[in-house]
Amino acid sequence: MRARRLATHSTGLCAAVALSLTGCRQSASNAIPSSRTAGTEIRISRLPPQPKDIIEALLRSSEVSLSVDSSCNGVGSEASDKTIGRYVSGLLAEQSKPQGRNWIETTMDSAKNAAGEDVWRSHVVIRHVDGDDRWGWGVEFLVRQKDGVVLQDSFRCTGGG
Amino acid sequence: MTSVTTLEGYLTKSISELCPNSYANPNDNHCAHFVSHALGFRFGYTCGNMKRGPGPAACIRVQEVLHRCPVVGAWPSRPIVLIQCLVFITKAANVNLTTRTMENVPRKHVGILLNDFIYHYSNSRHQVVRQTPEEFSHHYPAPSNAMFYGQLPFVPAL
Repeated sequence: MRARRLATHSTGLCAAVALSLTGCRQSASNAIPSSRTAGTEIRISRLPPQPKDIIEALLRSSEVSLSVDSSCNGVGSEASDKTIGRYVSGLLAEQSKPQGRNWIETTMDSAKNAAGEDVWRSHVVIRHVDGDDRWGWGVEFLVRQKDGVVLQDSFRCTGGG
Repeated sequence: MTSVTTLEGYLTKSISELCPNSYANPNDNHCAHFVSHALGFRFGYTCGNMKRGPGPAACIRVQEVLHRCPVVGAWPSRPIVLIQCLVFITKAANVNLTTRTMENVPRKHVGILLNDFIYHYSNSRHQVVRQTPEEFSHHYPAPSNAMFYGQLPFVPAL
C-alpha cells in the first residue's frame, strides 16, 4: 500500500492535544485514571486507518511504557518520564511558542509483523523548525489489518538530534 | 580520533553526502548524526533505525552520544590538554554531570573540537561548518547556550 501522509500545520491543534494529554496527569509514576481496563485492546474501527485514526490510537496508547523498546530509552523530556503519553506530551508542550513552524506528520504503510500477520506500520512525527532549532520526534506502531488492533508491544520511539 | 584533514574534508558537505543510508531529511537535526559518522559511533539509536541502507549506521541522538563520553564537564573546566573532544551546547539545567545524562529537549547540539575549531553540522545551512568556540557559543540564544565538553567515547576497532 502506498504510504499516506498528512502534514498538519497547526499550533492550535498541538496545544489542544497537549492539553488533552497532560491535563489528566496526576502522579510521579505517570499513571493516569482511565476508563480503559489495563490490558484491554485498543482497536481502530475505521479500516484502513486514516491519519485521524492513527493519532487517536496514539492518544489512547498513552499508558504504554517507555520500556517497551530500547529505542525509547531516554527520549523523555524529563528523566522521570515513563510512558508514551509523557514522552509525546513533552514534545507537544514544546510547541507553545509562535516562532518557527510546527506540524505533525502521519504516515502509514502495509507490512508484515514478526508473526507474519498483515499490519499497517503507522508513524506519527511531531516536528518543529526554527532556524537551527529543529527536531522531528515521534512513535511508530503496528495496527493489525484483520481486526484493527493496535499492537501495544510494537511501539518504537523515533527521531534524532 | 580523527584528523584536521579529515574534518576539513567534511566542510560544506550536506548530510545526504555523508550518510550512506540516505537518512537526510532536511527537517531533522543531524548534528549527532554527523558527529557519529565522522567518529564511527555505531551505538544507540542510529540512522539505520530510521532508514535502512547499505552503509554503516551511526548514532543520531545527542543525549546518547553524551552518555557514552567517559568524562563530561562544563566547558570552562575543560583540561587544557584536551585538544580533541566533543562539545555540547544546551540549557545548563538539561545536563546532569554526575550521571552524564542530557534530557531530550529541543535546542541541544553537538560538534567536534579539534585544536582551535569546532566542526559541526549546521541544520539551517544544511552543511558541515567550522567555528571557533566563541562563535559556537552563539548557536542558540541564552539560556540555551551553556557549553560542555565530553571526552571521546571509545570506538572499537573494526
